[in-house]
Amino acid sequence: MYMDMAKETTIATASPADHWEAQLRKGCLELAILGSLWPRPLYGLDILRALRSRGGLEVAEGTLYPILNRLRVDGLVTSEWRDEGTGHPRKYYTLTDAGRLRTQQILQSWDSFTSRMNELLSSVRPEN
Amino acid sequence: MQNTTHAQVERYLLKLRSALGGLHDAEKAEIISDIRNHIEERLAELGAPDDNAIGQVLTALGGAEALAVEFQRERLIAQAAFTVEPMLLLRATFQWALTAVSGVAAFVLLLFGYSIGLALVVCAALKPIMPQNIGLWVDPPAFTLGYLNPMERHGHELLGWWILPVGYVGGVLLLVATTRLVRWILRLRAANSPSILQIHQGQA
Repeated sequence: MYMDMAKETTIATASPADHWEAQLRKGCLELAILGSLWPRPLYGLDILRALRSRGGLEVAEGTLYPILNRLRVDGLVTSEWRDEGTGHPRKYYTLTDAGRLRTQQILQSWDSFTSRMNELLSSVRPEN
Repeated sequence: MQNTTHAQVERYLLKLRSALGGLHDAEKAEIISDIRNHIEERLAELGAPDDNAIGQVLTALGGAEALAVEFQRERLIAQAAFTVEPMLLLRATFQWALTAVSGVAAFVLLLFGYSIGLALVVCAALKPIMPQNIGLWVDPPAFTLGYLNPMERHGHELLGWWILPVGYVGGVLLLVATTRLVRWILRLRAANSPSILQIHQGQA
C-alpha cells in the first residue's frame, strides 16, 4: 500500500511538462557547453558552474564529460593542462575555430527557431 | 596529483577504462585524464580526501560502467562508420533510429540487407542436405527463398543447384555491400565533423 502511494506520488510529481522541460534542457546542452566556452577556456568544474549560474542548468557530472569528449573528437574543442599553482594542474577546454563556427551556426538555428516559436505562441501568452 | 593515488579512485578509473571497451587507447587515456582531473578538483573543493569525500565524488559521477556507456553512446555512430562488425553497426543504427527518421531508414536497410544475405548463404549451405525443399520458388507475383514443404509448394523452383554459387557469392556480396553502404551513410552523417574521419582514418 505504501509502495503504491509512493509510486503515485512519483508519477504525479513527474508531470509531462517536467519531462518536456528535461528533454528541452538535454537538447540544449551541447549549445550551452559551447556557449560557456565562448568567452574563455574553462576546466570541467568551471563549465558545470557556468551552466548552473548563467544557464540555470543543473547538469549531472557524469553527463558533461562524454559530451566534452565527443566535442573534442569532433574537433570543436581542444584540451590542455595548465598549472596555475593550485597544487595540481587543471585541464582546460578551449573552443577551436571549427567549434566557434559550429557555435554560431547552432545559435543561428536556435534564434530562428525561438523567434518562430515565440510568434506561434504569442496568442497563448496572457496579455500584459 | 596527490589525491588520486587513493585505491578507491584507482579502482574506479580502472573499471571505467576497462568498460570503455572498443574505444582507441589514445581516446581512453584522454577520458581517464578528464575524469581523474575532475575527481582531483572535487576532492580539493571538499578538503580532506577521506573515504567519505571520495565516495561522495564518485557517486556524483555515477557508476563506472554507466559512465562508460554514456561515453560510448556519444561516440557510437562515429565508431560504427569505420567498423565491419555487424553488431556495432546494428547498435549504432538502432541508437540513431531512436532519434531520427533517417536512422529508422538506415536501420531497416541494414536489417533487410543482412537478412537476405544471410538467408542466401544458409540456403546454399542447406541445399545439399535438403535438395528437394531448399530453393528460390516462383509463383508470380510471389517469390519464396528458403525451405518449402513439398505438400505446400506452388509454382516452380528457379535456381536448382545454381543456388550454391548464387547463395554463397550473392549472399556474401550482399552482406559486404550492406555493411559498406550503411557505413557510407553513417560517414555522411558525420561529414560535418571532418575530424572524426581524420582521427579514425589515421588510426586505421
